[in-house]
Amino acid sequence: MTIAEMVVATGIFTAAMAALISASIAMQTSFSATDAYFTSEGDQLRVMDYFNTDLRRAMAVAVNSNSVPYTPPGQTTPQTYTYTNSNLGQAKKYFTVVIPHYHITNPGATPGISDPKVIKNKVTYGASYKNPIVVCYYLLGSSLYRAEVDPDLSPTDPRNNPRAIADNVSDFNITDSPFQASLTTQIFVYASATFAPKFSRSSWKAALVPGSNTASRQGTTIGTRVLLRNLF
Amino acid sequence: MKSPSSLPQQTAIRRLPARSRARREGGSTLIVALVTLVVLALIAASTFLTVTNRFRSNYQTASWHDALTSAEDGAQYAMVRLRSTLTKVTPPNQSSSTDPVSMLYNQALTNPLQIPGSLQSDLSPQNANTTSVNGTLSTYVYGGKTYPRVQLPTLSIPHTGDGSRLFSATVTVDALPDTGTDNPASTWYRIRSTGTVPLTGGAKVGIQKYDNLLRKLQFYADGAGHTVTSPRAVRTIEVIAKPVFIGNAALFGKTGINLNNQNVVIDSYNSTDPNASSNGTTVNGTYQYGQYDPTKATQQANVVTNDAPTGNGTPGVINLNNGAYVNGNIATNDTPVQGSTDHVSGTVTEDFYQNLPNPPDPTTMNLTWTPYDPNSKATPTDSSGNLLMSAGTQASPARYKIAGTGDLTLNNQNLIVTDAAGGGYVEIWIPGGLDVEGNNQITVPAGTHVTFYVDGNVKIAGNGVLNSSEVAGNPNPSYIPGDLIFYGNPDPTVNQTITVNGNGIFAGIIYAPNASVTAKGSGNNGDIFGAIIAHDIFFNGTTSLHYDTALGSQGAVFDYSIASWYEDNALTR
Repeated sequence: MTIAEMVVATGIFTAAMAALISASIAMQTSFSATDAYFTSEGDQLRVMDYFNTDLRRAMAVAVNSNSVPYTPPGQTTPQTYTYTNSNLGQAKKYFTVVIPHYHITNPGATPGISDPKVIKNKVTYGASYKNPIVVCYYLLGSSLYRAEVDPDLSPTDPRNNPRAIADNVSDFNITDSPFQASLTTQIFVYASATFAPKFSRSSWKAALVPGSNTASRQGTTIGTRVLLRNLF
Repeated sequence: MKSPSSLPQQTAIRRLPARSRARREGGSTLIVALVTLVVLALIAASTFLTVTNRFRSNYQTASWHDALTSAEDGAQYAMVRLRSTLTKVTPPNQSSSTDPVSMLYNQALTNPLQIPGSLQSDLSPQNANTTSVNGTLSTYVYGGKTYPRVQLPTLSIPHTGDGSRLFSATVTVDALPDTGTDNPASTWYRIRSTGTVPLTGGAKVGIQKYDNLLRKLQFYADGAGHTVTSPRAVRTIEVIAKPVFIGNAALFGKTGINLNNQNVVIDSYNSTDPNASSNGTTVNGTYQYGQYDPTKATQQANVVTNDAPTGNGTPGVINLNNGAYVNGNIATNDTPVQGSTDHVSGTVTEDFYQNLPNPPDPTTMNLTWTPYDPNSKATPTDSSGNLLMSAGTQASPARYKIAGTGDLTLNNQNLIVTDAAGGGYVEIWIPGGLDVEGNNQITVPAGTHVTFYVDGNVKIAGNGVLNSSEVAGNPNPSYIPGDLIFYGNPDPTVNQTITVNGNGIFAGIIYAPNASVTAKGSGNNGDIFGAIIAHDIFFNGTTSLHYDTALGSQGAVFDYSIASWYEDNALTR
């Protein structure tokens, strides 16, 4: 083999290897983005499903607050139910709902489902219906937390601890909009969450900055519109 | 051309190392190719594995959503079963059509507890059925006592497209204890519906750890530890259905309402609230029989109409051209109110619809009626010649059918319902017309329940009073609309008219969706206490209707609505 042949062969080999490596990197990046996309989609679905589940069964909702006013059946003035923990002050956003005592959780009582009772034309669950379960969602760092506090449980019961339900969340928003239905006022709640677009590396860091409004962040915002079924 | 055997020996020697090199290069190429293929295959396998897991996870999520849809279908199925007793299908349609839409129409309002086999009847502790035509009858324990429960047949919901092809819903219905004690029609019902969707993709949990606490997919066992035969997504909801009473609105015109005078006033009071009425009486700590007091009048007198649910509506379905006063909300189906709404205290909306079943038909009730001829000397009267009619009990109401001409005309005499025991029940079927004029009246003791079925025209005029009573402690005549229900003709082809003129007074609920109701008050005392549901309603002159908001929870039921909704999903376990 002559030197010229060697140079040509080396050049071709180098080009072929460069193409192969580039293709491999591109494929890996693409596969990683695909993986991140499915992960983000799963995160979005999960967060919306959590929001939907709690909002549909809510008896009262407080937007942008960790305290929710609620008037138990048989009472005339609203009581305020507040969720708090030591980290909550660092949280950026909240919304809070109260849901019924559907499950019997009293220590010592036989676990089961509470029987409904009608009081003053309203449905109640459990003997301690005046102290409903408080559920609070809040954004701490880039994690979205859900805390559910059952007053029938011991304060140290792990079931009362907050749990992260999604990571890489850069923002979430809750708005309520009363509307005039026939003979009554009903309320829709619009809840949305924005995720860091991991599959878009170029704007990922910028998207994590609260308040930023890059196109990629808008592309990862998902929302749900829920009719509060127990408020009318 | 030289043959190979004639080639020089040197050439042959040179070729041997070249072949050997070629073999070595060929082996290296093969190895490189194989390694490359293996690497690419590993990358592809890794990708497919990851994507498959994600895809399975999202498929499971979709199935979980479908499970809620199935559960909602099951709850709706139970609501239809509850309502079906109120919207009884006539035998010809029942036998000739299995189309569920057709079966929901052609309705006739019927007392649910009078229909053998109704869901309400199956769940009535008084009936103590051992079998149910609606499903499987079982029991459950509430507060240490046993109550009936009906499990409806499993609802199968075929589905096309990707993923699972057959959803299902299992539904149980209970009558809520402690409701309907005084009035069986006021029973509330608990509907528990579980939607189930088979999972495709095998019994593999998704790799997203946060999903598992939320979705609780069942791969090998359900929440109670029972083995499941195949992976599935299951969601359970609990819906509480409450009765909607026919006196739920002050004025309900099926096709329209014309309040054509500035002296027409629609307002409200509450006969069970001392802050919204006066001169009531307190029995066992409960305030009742409160009378309308203009100084305590409230603004909950709603005026509603279905107008034209499938069309564009007809202008004037609610006509307020001359400034009538409505102290409440107004709702139409899709047509703007004609005239000024300046005197409407509440909201005005255009998205209302409520089905109005036909009134009960006494001819189909299969009950025994006692003939009552007001012109017969054998009919009991008091010393003043007033007609007397004695009440029965809730379990066995006194039932009278007007005999002779079928008309009931009070001519210089009153009709007095007597009820020595108190709290009695009377049902009066008038195949002809009813005429209460002059100074005559129909009096009902406070607390006695009277139901009229009137097929002909009705006229209340002069100083006639339909439903006057006395309440202890109140020297004035009292009007208790909750004591009287007035059903019109069940035949929609009959043109029935009901008029309240002059100083005529009516206290009760008029339920006559096939009749035209007219009130032309021209005297000083002509008022209506209660609620009116009719085909069309026309108020003129000085006419007032005082709606008793207590009627919203009394009397007959014509629908069920959802009072509470809950998904049984403990997200902390």
